[in-house]
Amino acid sequence: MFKKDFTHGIIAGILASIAGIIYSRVYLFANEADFSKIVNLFSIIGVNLSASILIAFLHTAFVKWMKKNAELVFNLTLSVLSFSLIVIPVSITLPLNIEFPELFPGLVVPMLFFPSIAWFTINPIFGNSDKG
Amino acid sequence: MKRHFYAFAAIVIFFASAFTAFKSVDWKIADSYSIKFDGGDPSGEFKGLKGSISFDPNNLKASKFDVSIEVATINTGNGMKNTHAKSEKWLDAEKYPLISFTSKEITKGSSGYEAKGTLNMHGVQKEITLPFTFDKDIFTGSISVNRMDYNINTAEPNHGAQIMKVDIQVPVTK
Repeated sequence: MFKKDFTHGIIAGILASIAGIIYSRVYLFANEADFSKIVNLFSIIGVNLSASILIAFLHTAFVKWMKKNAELVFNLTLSVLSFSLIVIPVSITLPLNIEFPELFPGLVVPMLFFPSIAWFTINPIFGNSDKG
Repeated sequence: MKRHFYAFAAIVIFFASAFTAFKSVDWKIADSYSIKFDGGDPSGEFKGLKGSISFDPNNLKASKFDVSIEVATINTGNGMKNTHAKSEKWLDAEKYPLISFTSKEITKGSSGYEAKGTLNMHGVQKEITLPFTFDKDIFTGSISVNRMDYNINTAEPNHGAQIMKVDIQVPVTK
């Protein structure tokens, strides 16, 4: 069971990383704001892969322990979790040598949803559907 | 002729040296300056330091600071806090765009120098004493500023720190 979820998580992590890298480049180009000391290639890949593997763990746990509506509750939990993480980039205090901290949430907030979007996107491939 | 030349030279040197006794050294502010404030929450820094610095350790009477910082350059490291700090409720950067200090007197202090003068912030002018040192072309000073003295969000005295420690380091060049 976890093997399938793990593969699902790894692929979702890779897709989210690609989306994150593209988005950060576009954002940097559009706003001329440099947050590369915090958000760079390595941190994007690391965070997205970690998050996606964590999602895989969560999914395995939900399916294992919940007999009914596991997929529905998992999807809802994942969406609420992703949304609630918004508080981190909004409230974080950046080092003073980083200019324009006002633009930091604009970079990071959309990225918070990338792992869950990637997970949901490839969900049908892994046959995770709620059978009630 | 020669006697007149020496007399003339003596007069010129005398007046020139008398003039230098009253003239201080003008300094240019280097870009690497830092003006940091720390009240726990919030803490951060200002940029946009401008003004004139005339200082000669051997001629304090002719020394003078007339400097200002731009309120809109405040950086706490958090965008939301920056916006709040610049808002009408706090520093009101639109109405009071500058925080300025103009010295009236510079004297020797216990461990360096003391600049007595007027700090103008948020439309309030207060006499303060800024202790500082001058070493290797760097001015270093530190003061504590109570925001309540400058009518900054007096409606919420417990919202954030009242007293900020301000550390100033200004490298200068001639």
